[in-house]
Amino acid sequence: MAKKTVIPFGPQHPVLPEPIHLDLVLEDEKVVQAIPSIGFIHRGLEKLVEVRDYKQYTYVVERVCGICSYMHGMGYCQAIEEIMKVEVPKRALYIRTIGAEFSRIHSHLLWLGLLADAFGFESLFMHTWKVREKILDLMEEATGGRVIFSACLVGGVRKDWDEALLKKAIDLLKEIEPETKELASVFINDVTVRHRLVGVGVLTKEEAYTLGAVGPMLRASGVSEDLRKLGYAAYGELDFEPITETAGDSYARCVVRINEIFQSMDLIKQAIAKIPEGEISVAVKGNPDGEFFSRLEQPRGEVIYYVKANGTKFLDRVRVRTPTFTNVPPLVKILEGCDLADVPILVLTIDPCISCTER
Amino acid sequence: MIEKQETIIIKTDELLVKTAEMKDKGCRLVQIGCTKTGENVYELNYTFDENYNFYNYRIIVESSNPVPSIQNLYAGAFIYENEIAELFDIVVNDMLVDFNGKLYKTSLENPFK
Repeated sequence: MAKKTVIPFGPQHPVLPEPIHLDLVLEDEKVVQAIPSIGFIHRGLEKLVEVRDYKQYTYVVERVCGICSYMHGMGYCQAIEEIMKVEVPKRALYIRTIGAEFSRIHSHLLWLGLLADAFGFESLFMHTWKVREKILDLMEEATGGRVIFSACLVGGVRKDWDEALLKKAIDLLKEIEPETKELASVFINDVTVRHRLVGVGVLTKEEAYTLGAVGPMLRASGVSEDLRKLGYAAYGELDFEPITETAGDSYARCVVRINEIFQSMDLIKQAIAKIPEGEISVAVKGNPDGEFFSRLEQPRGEVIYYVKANGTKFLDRVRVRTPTFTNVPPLVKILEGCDLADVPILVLTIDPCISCTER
Repeated sequence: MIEKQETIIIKTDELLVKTAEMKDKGCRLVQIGCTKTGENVYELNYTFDENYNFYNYRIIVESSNPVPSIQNLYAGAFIYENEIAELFDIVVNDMLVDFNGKLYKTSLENPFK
């Protein structure tokens, strides 16, 4: 009988952008079990709702995570707006959509760069993040921030995207689209990249569904589910379909994310073509009383913002169920039976955002 | 309104039956969340989705009363059930994957209790 060894993976590891710990139970070089433990960057942000009023709390939720900041703010504001029946101006909904899709592009480019770095493909990592930098520059001009955008507020958005900025956004897409296509062709076609990803970490459609996978993790296994189809923000007026693959392996997850980058570019162009004139926010008076589950499609998958309010300025509860949190069970599943050398890649393919997971 | 959402309050002993109904319907488990509503009183929300249709079942429990695990129906529920056990000190019975308090490293025990 093979001898079992337990190797700790994390919380510090070259491939991990944030700390997560996995105890890997090995038989020779095969992982037979992976036992996660989290909490290294648990900040108790959900508890903070007891001492921050609901408008101040927008600043807290934006800081749950730096990569997903835009949509954290958006999801929370959406929940409060649904409870208070606030009619958000249409222009604000379009601006939120444009910001969210740029956020998705920069997040997926970040992930692609980290994936290249995990292979040791340093030049590909640098080129990918170079493209990402251009998006962050635009977001800085639009919102004032490169990482924490503080773009959304209850009732709309803080800053308008004027004609000049929208044109700049279109010009930026024209610039980065061919650059991204060139990078994408390396990820998709390079024999060394394919060797590391094809057939590695297969998650079947059934497993993805019952284990609670979301986002590209779910869609790469053939489940066509994308919460943008609910039609929140301006998505109800844009034309798109969920991007899916069927193989369920790491390569499929990579291809889904790459294709979503181009889909996001198209959605931004559609939104800019359709964005109406008008106000960017409405004044919100009073306090929320009620509850709502705000569901959004973040780059990593479905995020839930459950907000329960009691009519005072302090909320009873904000529960943030982030996509990486729900992708932990599928991660544990795909690690079973894999080679030790594949563990870093498999951990990366769920696109882990540990700040989001632990809050 | 983005989507119609209805929360159905059920008894704790109905939880497994309702979860099995959701499983048979082809729903995926979206989340299990816990809210403290009073001294040792908690609401547990079990949220499901099927083709973008939203279903939410709620049970109201006292911290001393155990809640049955739904892991035999939804294996991925272990992450939620261990979280609520560790953060809120809710007793969840018959967990197939039980971290025995070692999933979440926090400096305070049951910090949300």
